[in-house]
Amino acid sequence: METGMERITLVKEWNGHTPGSEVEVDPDRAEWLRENGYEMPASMITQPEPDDLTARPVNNLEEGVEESAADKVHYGEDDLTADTDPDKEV
Amino acid sequence: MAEQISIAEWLCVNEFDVSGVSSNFGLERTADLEEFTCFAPPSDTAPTAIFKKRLAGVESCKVSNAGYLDMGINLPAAKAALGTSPIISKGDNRTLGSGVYMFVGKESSFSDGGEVGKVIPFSMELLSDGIVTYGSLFEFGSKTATGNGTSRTMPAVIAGKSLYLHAHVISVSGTSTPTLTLIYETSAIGDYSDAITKHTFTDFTAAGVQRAIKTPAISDLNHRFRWVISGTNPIFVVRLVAGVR
Repeated sequence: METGMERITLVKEWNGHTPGSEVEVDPDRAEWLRENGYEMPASMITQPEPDDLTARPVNNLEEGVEESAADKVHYGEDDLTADTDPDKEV
Repeated sequence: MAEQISIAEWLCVNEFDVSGVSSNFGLERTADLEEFTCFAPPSDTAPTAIFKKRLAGVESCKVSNAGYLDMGINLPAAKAALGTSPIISKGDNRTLGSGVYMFVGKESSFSDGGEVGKVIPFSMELLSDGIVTYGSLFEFGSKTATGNGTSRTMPAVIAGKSLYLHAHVISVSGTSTPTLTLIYETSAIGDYSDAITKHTFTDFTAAGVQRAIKTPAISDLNHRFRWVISGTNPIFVVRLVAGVR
């Protein structure tokens, strides 16, 4: 950017520039564009989506119980993950 | 390119337009060219020729004029201004938009005197003191009412450049304190519905001169003078010049 200039993102057409385009103007003209509603509000300018800081961490463990290596042992025939549906035909 | 007869040249020294008493104008621009020619570089095993190399050095500008002394008009006053630092504008013709040299003079000379029975001649010389700008003639003539000047396209004033303004008010007439408020404004669009004032000169109520320098940045390319005139039957004779360098 040229020294002493400002970059303005337009919210409506101005001087041959379409909305959404950026123009480099001197501080006086930048002020004029702001006062006359040509500058796109910062909230409307597309930005990369920030990380969702409001999300809560998922905790699949019971409170106060730490998952140990033993918890991860495969129990063979006593596999608790086996299908136990009583209605299922054998 | 059309040649032209020298008939409309003009020269303002402060608030004095000395064109009406001058029969000869001269303008000389120079730059000291500093030589830095060296031997051929070591890699050149069989140098055949070398050429002089030069850097453009310090610039200067000199305006000279000669004519016939008119004690009743403005030369005595112009002469008095020579010892100071007169604001100078020199144009090749009076067509709006034509080129004008603009500078502040510092050292100068003035001489007059002649033979008995002949019209008394004079000559003077004005040397630049600092930057010389090649600007554009915006307005030349009489202003009698509030109005807008002609818009002209100017280069953007970016870092390292400045906008130079010369306002020569040659004469003022009228009653009820004729007053000229002179404004320099720019427009991005070109119709001045978006005009921005870049400079307001101190009001003129008498003949005078003002020079203004505006620093970057100016992004608008359309420039003009605008004036507000008050008083009874006011007439302001002006030469208004602007340049970017």
